[in-house]
Amino acid sequence: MSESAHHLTPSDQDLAASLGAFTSRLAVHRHVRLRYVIGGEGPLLVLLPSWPETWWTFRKVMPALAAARRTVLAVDLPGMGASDPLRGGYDRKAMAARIRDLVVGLGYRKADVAGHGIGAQVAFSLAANSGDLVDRVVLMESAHPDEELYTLPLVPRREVDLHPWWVALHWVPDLAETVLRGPMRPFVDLVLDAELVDPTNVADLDREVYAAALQSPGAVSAAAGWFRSLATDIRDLEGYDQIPHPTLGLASWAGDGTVSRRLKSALARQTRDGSVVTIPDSGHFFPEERPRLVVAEMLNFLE
Amino acid sequence: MTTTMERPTAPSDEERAASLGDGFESAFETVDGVRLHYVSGGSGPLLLLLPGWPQTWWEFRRIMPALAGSRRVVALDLPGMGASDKPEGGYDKKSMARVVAGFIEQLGYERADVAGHDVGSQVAFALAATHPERVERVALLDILHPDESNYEFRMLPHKDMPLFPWWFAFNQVQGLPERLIEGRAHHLIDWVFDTFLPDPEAVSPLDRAVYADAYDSPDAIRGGNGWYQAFPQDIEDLADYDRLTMPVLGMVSGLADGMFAAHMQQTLPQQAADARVVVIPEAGHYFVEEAPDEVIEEFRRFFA
Repeated sequence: MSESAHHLTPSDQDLAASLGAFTSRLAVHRHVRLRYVIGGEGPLLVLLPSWPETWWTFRKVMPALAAARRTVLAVDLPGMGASDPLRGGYDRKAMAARIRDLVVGLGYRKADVAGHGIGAQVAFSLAANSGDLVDRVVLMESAHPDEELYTLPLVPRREVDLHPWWVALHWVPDLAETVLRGPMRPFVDLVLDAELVDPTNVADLDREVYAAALQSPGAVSAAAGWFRSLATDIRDLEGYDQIPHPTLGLASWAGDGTVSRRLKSALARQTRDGSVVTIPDSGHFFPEERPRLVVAEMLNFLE
Repeated sequence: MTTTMERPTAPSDEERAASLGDGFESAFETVDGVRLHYVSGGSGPLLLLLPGWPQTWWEFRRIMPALAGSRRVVALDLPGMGASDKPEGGYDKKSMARVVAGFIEQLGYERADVAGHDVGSQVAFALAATHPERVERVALLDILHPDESNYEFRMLPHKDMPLFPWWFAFNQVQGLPERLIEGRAHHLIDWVFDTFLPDPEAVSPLDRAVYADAYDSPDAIRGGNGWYQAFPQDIEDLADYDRLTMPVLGMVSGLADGMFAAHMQQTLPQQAADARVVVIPEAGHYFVEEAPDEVIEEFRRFFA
């Protein structure tokens, strides 16, 4: 969190320490500072979060992954939480380059990379653009943005259909910056509660963490940047070959199975060695709703 | 967003109705348990005006006095709009049309000429389709009844899409817009008019304050969004409607590089046996306020 975060919100140091042997650190490369939380020993596993959350979305899986003899590193994406914004746009390629700087800067030559939502898109881009650095890839809820994004209607036909209205809101220049102001807790609550099977899976404190991150200066503008870059990302994908890395897709049953179906078809197009597992009884935020199952699937895949 | 001038305070509906002269006044009528606000002036056959989002009866201020010469002109706040009630449901256009049909009857009229703009045009069409005995002639301004083409608007727009109505998506969400927009509707109103008016002065700071007030409360935001949340139902209902047989006038702006004009020219003749489409290419979506003289002239000819 930034210094301006809610006074009741614990610092990233405190949050990291609450997970056991984890510490919160900052790394600066090419004038951009990234906040990451690291713990455990062994091969590196990088975790990349998504909107409207932070690295804290992985709090329930990090200790168990570290216990399986891995170095676990969860990082706030550029513009998220205490990580710096980017000046030249937030296309996945640019964000992946920053993650590469961090990993290489820490002295690693290989990493497994797992991401959720936008984090998954960055994970794919890292594999596509820095293939030698990446060992295995876990894509939760999303592959890389592709043409299929252009098929989703603004108005859903049926109530169960996917309706990521925030894409539209953030896409319009200046609009999100105007509308999403002031305390963000009600906003975070409404977004999470619409997605969670059981709202208690994300507790009061967790929601305060996400709200504090989203109401820090520039946070909404940065988040808008992640969505405004989608057209660039879709074009970038045309220049990529299928990634050769073993890839595990994890999908919720959101949208009456739409997310799962789309992830399967996207992995068939975008990867050479990918398969998808559906996480039952959970919405979009399954690292927080079904952490034990997520850990089991990830370790089964990574080992 | 870009408007930095101080925001004026909007006068009440009563004061603004009186400001039109010719005995215009603000009144209420309760239909099917829904209390409806309207502004009425003149006497003679009824011309009923139905406004759209994010506006109120006030969008017709520049044409009401001129049309009231030989007829009674009534501009109605739709269910969910302005000083009218905001019921929990009933925002599909067919249900709204039923309320409007009852309103016409309650004013003591068998039939009315009806003109609607934006969402008001969708209600006017549904009224003509479901209560043809109440509608003499109908004018549809800029927007047609929701149809399958609504689904062509995508969450992520292709760069060649000339219009991105992001609010179609946002207004579907229940509970959240009420919390985000409450007390801050002026941001939304300014965005809408700064974006869509070729001449931003056509809707003044005072007019904007009127609209912002009307969409500033959680109930008002919920009501207005109800019109959008009913689109899938409206699209299903459209399949059951017969072709209209009364005279129909379509007036359409240059909105979205003529995309709406092309859609109306292609679609309206299929939906109505006796339809004429007038394009006002240089005007934007709010042409009732931007080009009131052209609207008055067309209405005088059509509703003669």
